Amino acid sequence: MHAPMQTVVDFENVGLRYGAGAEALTDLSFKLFAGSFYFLTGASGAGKTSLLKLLYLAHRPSRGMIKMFGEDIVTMPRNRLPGFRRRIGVVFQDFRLLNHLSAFDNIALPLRISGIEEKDLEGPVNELLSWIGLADRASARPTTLSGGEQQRVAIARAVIGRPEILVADEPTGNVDPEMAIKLLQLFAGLNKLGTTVIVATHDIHLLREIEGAQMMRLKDGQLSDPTGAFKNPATPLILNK
Amino acid sequence: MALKETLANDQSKALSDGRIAGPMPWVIAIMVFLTILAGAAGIAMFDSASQNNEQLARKMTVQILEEDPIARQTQRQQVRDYLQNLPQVESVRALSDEEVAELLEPWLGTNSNIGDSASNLIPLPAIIDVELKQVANKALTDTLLRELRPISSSVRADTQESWVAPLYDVMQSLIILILGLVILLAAATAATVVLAVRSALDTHRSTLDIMHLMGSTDSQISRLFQRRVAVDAIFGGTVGFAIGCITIWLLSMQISGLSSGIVGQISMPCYGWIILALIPLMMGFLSIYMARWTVQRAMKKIL
Ligand SMILES: Nc1ncnc2c1ncn2[C@@H]1O[C@H](COP(=O)(O)OP(=O)(O)O)[C@@H](O)[C@H]1O
Ligand SMILES: [Mg+2]
Repeated sequence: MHAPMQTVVDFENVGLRYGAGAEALTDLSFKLFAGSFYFLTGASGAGKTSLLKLLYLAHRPSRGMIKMFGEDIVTMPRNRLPGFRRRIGVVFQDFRLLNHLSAFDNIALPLRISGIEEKDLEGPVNELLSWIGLADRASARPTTLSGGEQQRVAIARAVIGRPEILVADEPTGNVDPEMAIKLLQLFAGLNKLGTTVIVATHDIHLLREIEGAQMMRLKDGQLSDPTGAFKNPATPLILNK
Repeated sequence: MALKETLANDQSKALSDGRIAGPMPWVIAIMVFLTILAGAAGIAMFDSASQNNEQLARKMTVQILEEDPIARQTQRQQVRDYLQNLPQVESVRALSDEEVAELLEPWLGTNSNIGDSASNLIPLPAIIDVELKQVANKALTDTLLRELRPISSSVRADTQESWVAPLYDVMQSLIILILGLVILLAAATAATVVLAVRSALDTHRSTLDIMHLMGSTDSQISRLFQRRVAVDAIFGGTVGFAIGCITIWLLSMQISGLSSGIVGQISMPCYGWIILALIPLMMGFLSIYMARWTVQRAMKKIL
């Protein structure tokens, strides 16, 4: 039933340097495949956020080649990038919800940016609001929501556009373990629908929660991948410790 | 209010407040008002200068400075007849002695014994107004004088140009000055918009970053600002235009009360009002364009 695994992300010898400092990311070479679920782990400061920023096209790498959806995005002209960004959903570490907009409007934002008509977006947004259990808080401002509720709105905003890639930076950082597992299940559900999911976390206990998930471990800006297992998506890489 | 609603569609909900920055519409109003005043002065001056110029440039005054009234009268007759038959001449009118006396009255007073006899201290000249078919110039008057010399040895010719020209030079300088002023006002308006939009960009930085990362194009983001600037420009333009027109109208009432002189001839022609109506429109488009330019330039700095 599955087509042969498609490469959605392809890094070759990628390096990222902020200003004149040392490289925050060094010699990254890997491929991510359509419909797979990846955990990105590593200590604080290892470069997880930096790698995700390359994935959601907030930075260009200082060197190396990155292909997304089969196209070289490093040399791509600026005006083509918005089209690619619309195919990528992002959950930011600090949510970055717009405080002057209601929960509904926050979630609807990606659809409005894509030019979806008002009458066509109400249904999906309300549906998603119910799915995250916030149907009755549709008109609430983010500042009146709890941390967990804000996180769910942020996730809903990331997935409303049915992105081909979902990138989440420490999405379980500020929630209790129970909620963390619920959110992961939400990602897993999306993944089953075909979205490639990349979740950055320093919480290795989460890794066992998703069956078939693979792990990429960052250390000092480099992928430490002694087994090379994650390069082969057929092999589930579940941490057994 | 309804207009504001129409302009602010759903995507623009992304920015929290309706307007760019508090004083923007008022700054635009003041700029439009000043530009309209400057523009009106320029148009009125240009109009009267070009109209009078056209008429005056073809006029010539021929004088005969003959003391003997009888000889003067004969020469006046002969010169008039001669001029009348020239192909370059459109029309000729010899002024009567009374008309000449009246004309010179402001300078010589109403002394009844002027011009009546040979015993007068100050003899009146004979004056003949000539309207040419072409613009009077030095070469033409010289030729005419040479031909008239046998008829009257004391004949002189003046083109109106000789005294009107300096006045029009002044007007021309003023018109150029006003054009420069209008350009400076436009530049100041543009700079105001750039500064206001830059500060609005700072205010909304985090919102714009998020929208950018969700795939907003530069034009989508600049349109958010263009809409707001458009609202401000419509308000400012309307207010500035209204106050400007009222001012001009009041001024023109006062000017038309003046009976004589070049100033009395100054009026706002029909096409002038059309140009004035274009000023708030141009200011509006300039503001919107500058908003777009500012936002897009800022967006190009981020990937
Ligand atoms: N904007 C930035 N400017 C300069 N250095 C940065 C910036 N962002 C991250 N870094 C540096 O890059 C390294 C990796 O950071 P980051 O990617 O945030 O790690 P992680 O998300 O794994 O904690 C750190 O040493 C950090 O100080
Ligand atoms: Mg981080």
